[in-house]
Amino acid sequence: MKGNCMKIAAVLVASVCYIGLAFAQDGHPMVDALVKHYQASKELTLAVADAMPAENYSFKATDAEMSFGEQMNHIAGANANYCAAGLETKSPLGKLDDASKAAAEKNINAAFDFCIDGLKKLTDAGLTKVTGTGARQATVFERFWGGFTHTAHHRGQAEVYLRLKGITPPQYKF
Amino acid sequence: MRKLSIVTALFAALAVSAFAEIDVKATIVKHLKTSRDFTLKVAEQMPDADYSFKLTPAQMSFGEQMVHLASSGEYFLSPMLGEKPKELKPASMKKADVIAFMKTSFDATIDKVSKLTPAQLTKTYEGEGGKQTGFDLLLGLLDHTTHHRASAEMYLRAKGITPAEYQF
Repeated sequence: MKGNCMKIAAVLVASVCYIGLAFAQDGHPMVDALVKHYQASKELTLAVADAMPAENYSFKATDAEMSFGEQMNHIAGANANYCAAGLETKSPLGKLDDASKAAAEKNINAAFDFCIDGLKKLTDAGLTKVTGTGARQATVFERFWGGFTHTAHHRGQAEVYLRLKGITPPQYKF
Repeated sequence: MRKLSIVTALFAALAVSAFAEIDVKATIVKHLKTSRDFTLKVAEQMPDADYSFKLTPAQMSFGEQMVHLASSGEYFLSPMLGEKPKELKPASMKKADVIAFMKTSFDATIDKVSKLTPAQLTKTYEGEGGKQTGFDLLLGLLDHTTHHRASAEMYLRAKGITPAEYQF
């Protein structure tokens, strides 16, 4: 009887664990969510970039700020750096000196594609891995979410540049 | 013996999937606290007299941006809690009242997020923004705050004030 109970218990534990395992292996809900939101962020950022006419890419609202084009390049460069840290590789973007509309849009595309392609190769368990040393330690999830938030921070400012030029920013999406 | 090692391996696999959820909630709470502290710094920087300032007529005033981002916690968390979002408002649109309202709202949000279960985070909810998991809603809450705080920082610049250093 005792042996039977142990067998039943073992089967039950194994079944529960199997469900857990299946969830962990068949789906990566966190990775999928980040990919989805990164795609939305790419679309919104490109829509904001596109809404500003090329001749106003050098516009800045106050002297201390970056120009609109510099904001766009800063979003691209920083995003690629955050994602590169998460992927433990190097950013594919070099120094971004050309802040023209065509160059900035190309940089935004390259940076987001790098992040999204990298994310798609990760697992949910991989997102919890800690990278970096000392005060710069962070999980892979935080690297990607940090890049995402940094984009929202600068894009939010750039949208106000559009307003100051009489342009209604594209609809917010997430 | 072989059975035992299979069970052990399966246990290990389960531990990994549970860990992923727990770790993420702790991370989100950490960033919600940073977001609260950073947003309150931005709110403190604007003088009371300029809380009604807006850069263009179509925008919300500085004070309205602050109230909007602070009260949005209700909307993002209500699907997970199975509640209707409450219409929360500060006592007035004066700086002191707005900041008091922000502190109360942010702390209530952080408290509620701290108590969410892994099941509430992974469940899918049907809402205005389509189908979203609890995880999506929490990321959406953080993103929405960042979005409006960034606009508000532009109002500070327009008033000759350098915004507080970016924090994440």
